[in-house]
Amino acid sequence: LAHYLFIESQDPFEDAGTLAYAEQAEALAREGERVTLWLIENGVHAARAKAQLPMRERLVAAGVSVLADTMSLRERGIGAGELHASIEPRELERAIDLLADGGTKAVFH
Amino acid sequence: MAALTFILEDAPYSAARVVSALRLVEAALRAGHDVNVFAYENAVGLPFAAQKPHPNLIKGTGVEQEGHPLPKDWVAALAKLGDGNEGRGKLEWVNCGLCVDERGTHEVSAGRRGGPKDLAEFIARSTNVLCVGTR
Repeated sequence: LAHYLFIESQDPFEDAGTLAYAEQAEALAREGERVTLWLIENGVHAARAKAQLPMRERLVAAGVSVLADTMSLRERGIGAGELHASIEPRELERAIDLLADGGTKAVFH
Repeated sequence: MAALTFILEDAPYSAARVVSALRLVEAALRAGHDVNVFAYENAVGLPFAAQKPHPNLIKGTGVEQEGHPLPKDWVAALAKLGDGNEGRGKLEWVNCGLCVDERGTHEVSAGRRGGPKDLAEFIARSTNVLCVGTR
């Protein structure tokens, strides 16, 4: 199986393309592929527990691993206690680990 | 160790993606991976040597106090970091020559002039490729 790395840099409340992007991630996961959604820059606005984003639950149900870039979280004042339970804060080095795996297919949005 | 290729398209000062892309390059080099960067379109302005810092007239701070960051310095720092020493990876940065000619950004702080052939070779020898494209 391939591992798909979706890097989302856009704000979910500003860019409707983020929904289509997440739907692609969800569809691949439901096909049985390994999928990681990496939130970076304004993409981490989706990490707030209080954000009303039903797609987040769908991603989790499909088995998508959702990670949030710690620097992007810090820049935007999103503390660990504010994160949705399904989202794991990680340093950027984790994204490099995934990219360095030749089996990973990565897309930046 | 892997070899990673990053394709950049955004101009300096234009988008947070520029910073994210350079952060990825730095992290990869520090992890010991060799990195190729192909700067396309307005990204050839990233190492443009004529960039100048400026004061902040609103705050009344001078050039030194402001410490205005310059992308050309970031690229130069990455080139220095990517020397392949002490377990770090090697960086090869290529600026699209046609894009440079169009924009007149010939003098650069780091990297060399190249073309699509370089990009094809980068891709052929890379473990992975990530395009951080313009939106």
